[in-house]
Amino acid sequence: MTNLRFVGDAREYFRIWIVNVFLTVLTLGVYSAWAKVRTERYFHGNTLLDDHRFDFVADPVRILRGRLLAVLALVTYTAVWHLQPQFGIYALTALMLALPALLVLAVGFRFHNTIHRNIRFRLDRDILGIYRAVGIPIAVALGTTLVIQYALSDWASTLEANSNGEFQAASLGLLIFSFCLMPLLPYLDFARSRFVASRAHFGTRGISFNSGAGRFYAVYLIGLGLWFLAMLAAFVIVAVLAWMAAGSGDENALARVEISSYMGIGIMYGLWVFVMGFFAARRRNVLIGALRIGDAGVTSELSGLWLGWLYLSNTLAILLSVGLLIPWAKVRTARYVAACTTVDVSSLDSVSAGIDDERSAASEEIGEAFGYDLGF
Amino acid sequence: MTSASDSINGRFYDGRVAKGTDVRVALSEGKLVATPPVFPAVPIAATKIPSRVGNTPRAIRLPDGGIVETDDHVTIDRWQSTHGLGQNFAHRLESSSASALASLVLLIAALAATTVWGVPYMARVIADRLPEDIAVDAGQYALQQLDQLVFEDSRLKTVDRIKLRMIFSTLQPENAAVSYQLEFRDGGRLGANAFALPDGTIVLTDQLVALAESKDELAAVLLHEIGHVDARHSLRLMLSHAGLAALTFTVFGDVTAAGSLVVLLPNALMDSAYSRDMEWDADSYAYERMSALGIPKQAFSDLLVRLPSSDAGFLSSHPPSPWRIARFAGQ
Repeated sequence: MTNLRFVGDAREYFRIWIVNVFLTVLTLGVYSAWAKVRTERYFHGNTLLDDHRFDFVADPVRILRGRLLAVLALVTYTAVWHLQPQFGIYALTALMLALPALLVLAVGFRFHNTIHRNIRFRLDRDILGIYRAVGIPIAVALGTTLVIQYALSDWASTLEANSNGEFQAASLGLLIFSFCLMPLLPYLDFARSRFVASRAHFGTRGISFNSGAGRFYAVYLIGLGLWFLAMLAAFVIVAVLAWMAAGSGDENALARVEISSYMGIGIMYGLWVFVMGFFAARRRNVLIGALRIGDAGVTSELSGLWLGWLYLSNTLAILLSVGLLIPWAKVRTARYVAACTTVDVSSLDSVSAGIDDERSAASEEIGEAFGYDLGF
Repeated sequence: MTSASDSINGRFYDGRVAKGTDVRVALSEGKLVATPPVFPAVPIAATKIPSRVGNTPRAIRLPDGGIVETDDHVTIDRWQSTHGLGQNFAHRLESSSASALASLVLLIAALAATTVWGVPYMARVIADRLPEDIAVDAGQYALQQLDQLVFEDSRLKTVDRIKLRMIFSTLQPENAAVSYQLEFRDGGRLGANAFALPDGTIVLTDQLVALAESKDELAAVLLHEIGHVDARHSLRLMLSHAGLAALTFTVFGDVTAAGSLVVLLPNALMDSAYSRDMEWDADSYAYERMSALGIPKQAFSDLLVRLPSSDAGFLSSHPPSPWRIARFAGQ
């Protein structure tokens, strides 16, 4: 098993990043497509597996096209919410319904344009498949929602009586649906990951996913537990701070309590970022660990505590540097994540490319533009 | 001045199998020749050389699909320039510290200019070009929501309403594109307030009517609200907000790995700055119309001063600033 290595350098990347941002702003976003390709080329090109590099070969023009379409869609969506808000809910639902398809397109675009040893990755374009994969849990949540709404129907009919009842009933429905969906989130994550992995290929070598949903539930539950603990800790800290600040109740007490409440919010946010990092590490370990490229295993051994700390210190650094340390943060994270990932390379030399068209579908650009990050 | 045969060390991948072979590639009479001969000699003009990204190794793409990966950038750059195979603009900007620093400075200036002037300007231009009735539904919807959540029926006496409507009719601008209507409500939790909806409906709360001590003060408020409608502020605000969001996304969109919610903070600050600008603009409108109609401008500042600081108008985000009050004072 060989480790991935990231050999990029923060100073070098800072220069690339600052020019990217500058030209993007100068061109009102048009350059963002080229900036994205350059960034990906930098991170891919500086990632080594057994002394072989990766590369990202997307055509910036196609990314730009996708982004323009996405902007158009976003503008339409925003316009509906502002100009015809009564239809806003339906626009939101349409967007939610489109998400699985956008996911497949986005990942497909990314895979298709990722190259290792001049062999492309590939994702079978099975749009129906993703709906089948996520359809059942969503149908279950939907069914439960309808049952609950029926049970509450007496109360709901009094809502309908006034002019906005329809909107309010729809909002309530959405709320109930969200609650029903929450326990199914780990399963959805699992189903989505399994779907993508099992349709992915490195050249002709298929990739498989070997894990049940159970490990995902474990990760989510641990994450949730940790989050509760963190919020509890934050609550206690804020209360203590406020009590200390109130002191003798003199005339400045109110101001001090206000300041302490801001500090409290800061502490809560920091803890939340830490928990997100911890959760991201554990989740990635499960996801990557389930992958096999043909017979070759892949492992990820991120430390939840360390990644949590990375996320937290990155956020602090970015805040204090007004964003200038973003490149440093990205390089630092990439280096750690790569070092914790190993691949069994013994059989990779014999992978062949297979018949494969170079161009990814035009529709994939749209998915890419929505920036849907699978976290692979 | 190209040497007839200069060469690079690299690795060849044929693109059919994942195995790589170390290779030395020489440029000889315009052709790339490999040692060992893993690929036949190809004219360099038939290859694609991607632009340079820092010191990341680049892959020369051969016409049959193979690549030669190399980090000998100096030679490759030279081959590129002598054979017209790409300019590496971005790399040249990125590779000098001076230009990186200049980028930083210009970036800050460009961002400041865009958020302070660019976005509101674009919002204004677009709003002016949109059809008049585009925001009518949204306005009516907003009023319905307010009626359900906060407002109650006005308890103003009919005779007072008639008087106010008469004043209102004298204030309406000529050749207005929308039809202005005056509505009365009990403001509930929102207290003394006035609102303008995009379709020309202006709402006065009973509490504000009670707070006013003269017709002129109410006229001033009504003119301020008409100012919001006339300049299509609600539409402009929405467009500014969207434009700012888009700008934030393009600039910081790729910052996911490090807790990117921090970038929303400047957004929130700019949004309230845009709102304050529009309050100021509506004040300007009121100022001019009050001059034209001979209404003493002191009336507006008198009322502003009396407004309890806990109330907030539809578009404003905080109590009236001393500047707004001073502008109308003593006039």
